[in-house]
Amino acid sequence: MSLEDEKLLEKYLREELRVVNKSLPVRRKSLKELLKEEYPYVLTRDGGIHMFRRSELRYAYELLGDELAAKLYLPIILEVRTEFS
Amino acid sequence: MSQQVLRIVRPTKIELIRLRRRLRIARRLHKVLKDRLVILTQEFISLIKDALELRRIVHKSLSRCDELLISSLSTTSPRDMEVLADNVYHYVNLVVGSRVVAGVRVPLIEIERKLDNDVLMTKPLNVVSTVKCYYDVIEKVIKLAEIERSIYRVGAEVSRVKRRVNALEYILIPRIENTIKFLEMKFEEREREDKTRLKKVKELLQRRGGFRS
Repeated sequence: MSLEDEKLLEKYLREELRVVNKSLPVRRKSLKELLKEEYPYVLTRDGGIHMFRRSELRYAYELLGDELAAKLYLPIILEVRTEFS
Repeated sequence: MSQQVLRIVRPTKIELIRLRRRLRIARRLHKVLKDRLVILTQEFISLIKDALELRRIVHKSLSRCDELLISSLSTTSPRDMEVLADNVYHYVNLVVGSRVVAGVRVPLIEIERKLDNDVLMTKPLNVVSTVKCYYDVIEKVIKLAEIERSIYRVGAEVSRVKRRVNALEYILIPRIENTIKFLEMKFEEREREDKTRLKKVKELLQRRGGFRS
């Protein structure tokens, strides 16, 4: 394997990291805000949409109540930091 | 595991530093991708379990609905049943979107309108139960379609990520490690050669100095 091949492989891997992060939302919305929308969704960084199931949102609202629903921002993002694991 | 080393232009200390940095990045990437692979595999298995269960339920429900249909046809004409089915069909209003599961875009299908009981009010009881049974099956089939498409998408991503993880684990990381080892050995050897050379020079100088005195 030459250095050029090596660089190509690294490029692919960089692309891989991009794939992991491309589905992150541009802006998160609160549960209350989402329930007000006709079709609850958030925009993702790649320009797509991430839709929510209304029945699931309603269920979460029933569990949390009005006050907490305004504080819960969706989708919940889990961050993996390799240096700490 | 690959025993090969990378072809490097010049075996220098700078190259060694670069390789060590590259190894660090590769290991970090490997960890990220492996974690992602675990999440995707778990999602894949859970989707398959859901699909199998749902498929079993759909088959069972369909045979029950067929039995109900036969009993309904004893009180209603086939033409009436067809008209009713057409009416019920209008109550299947879908919202089709997408959502992201572990970085994979999967479909999301939701039934927007539910079956209105007013349509069935004037119908005989066995016809009502038949319609409700088929409507229930339609809901399940839609859910099954969503899950099966998700399985296909997640499965494709699992195989893609697995290839990347294997490339890192069995080819790239071992090759970088071997190259680092090779370079370190080369530098050690060079150092030993230098030491021996210096010793020889010292001896030579001492001998010359001895001659002079």
